Amino acid sequence: MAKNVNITSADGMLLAVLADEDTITGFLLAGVGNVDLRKKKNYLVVDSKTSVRTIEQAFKEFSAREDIAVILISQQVASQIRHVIAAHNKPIPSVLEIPSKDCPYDPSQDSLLKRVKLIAGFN
Amino acid sequence: MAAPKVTSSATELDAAEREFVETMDALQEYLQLQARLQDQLKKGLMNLARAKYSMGPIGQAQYDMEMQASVRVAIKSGDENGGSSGGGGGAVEGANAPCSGTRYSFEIRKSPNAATARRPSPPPAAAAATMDRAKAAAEATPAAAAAVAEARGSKNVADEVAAADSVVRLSDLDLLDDDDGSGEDGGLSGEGGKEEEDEKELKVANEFLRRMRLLLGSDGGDGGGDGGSEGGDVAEVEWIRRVRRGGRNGGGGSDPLHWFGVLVPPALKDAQSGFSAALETCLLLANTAQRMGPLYHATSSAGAAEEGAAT
Repeated sequence: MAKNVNITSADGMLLAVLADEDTITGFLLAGVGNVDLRKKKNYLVVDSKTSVRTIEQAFKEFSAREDIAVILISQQVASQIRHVIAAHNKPIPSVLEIPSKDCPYDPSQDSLLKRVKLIAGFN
Repeated sequence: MAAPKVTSSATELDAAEREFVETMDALQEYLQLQARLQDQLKKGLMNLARAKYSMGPIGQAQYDMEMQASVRVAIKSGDENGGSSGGGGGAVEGANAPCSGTRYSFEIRKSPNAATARRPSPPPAAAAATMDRAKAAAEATPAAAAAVAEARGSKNVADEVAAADSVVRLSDLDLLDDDDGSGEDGGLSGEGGKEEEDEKELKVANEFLRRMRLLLGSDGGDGGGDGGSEGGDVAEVEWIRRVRRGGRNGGGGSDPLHWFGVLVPPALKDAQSGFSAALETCLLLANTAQRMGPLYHATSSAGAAEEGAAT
């Protein structure tokens, strides 16, 4: 029997976003953005000047935080830190690749689908 | 002896097959949701581009650095294997045990009280010039008035404020007289809601005048008789300064639209609604992705059952 247990606090958990500026602006308009008392943000604007190390650090920080439930990462950004995403095996926070502004969604690049394909033996 | 082992492995294989089929269904749904998300993001970004065309650059410079999330996610764990995933602190257990077979479902939760939780904040760097000028004028007025009061004698300004106050009180009395039922106008006395609004406005105006007097008293030093306690005056002055500095962030609530000005183009509102819809699709995607998770466990348990049958 499935037991539905609510495991979040009364306020709920946050969503983190790693994407380009326009996508981040859109999600912030939707009410996702949060800056806590320590000035820590739950988003990272990635542009051409953002280094891979910065993206990796931000992703690791988001995945280590206990108040983040879902990490939204655009596919273009995800392709730069594929190895870090592949190493992430915790169910919470859940990592979700979203389409980039410049490139359409490519199922063959999605980490989740790659893993399912590998395990199901569709190679 | 061998028959029970074959039965149990067949049962496990059946269960694995069912989970596999369910996972493939979830995979198909995942791809459909991704296509939907792409359309929604495309529309949202197009509206954002239209808004940029109307009002100029929209970007990080306008973000409120003390923003609070008004949309959050509630996680529910549904354990399909009969074990308990715990409540309250169960999130940690689930997160550290990826092989437990626990599925999580995400629900969106919008908080209407984000505005009350907001700290008073300074306006963003790229605040509208008109708002800043208006605020500067408002701030300059009591200072100028205080300076004039010092030059001429504070009584004049205090008298003017008192006169304004008396005017407000007189109009208040007028309204009360109307309440007693002059009835000639008909429209005013008949509409209780409008009178309440007028009373509220008068209360706000009275409050404002009181605070202005306090300001004058604190700035002028000898102004009027309303110096009161210094601690209270300082707190009042600080509150007024915060409200003035807060501008649209302090008084406008948690809507991020207010970061971009008082009058925003309709395209920006459309972009906001588009991205809100995209956010809901993202959560559906996250739920569907969770349903694909058991594939790991199904294949591993089926593999173990086959090995057991072979020996």
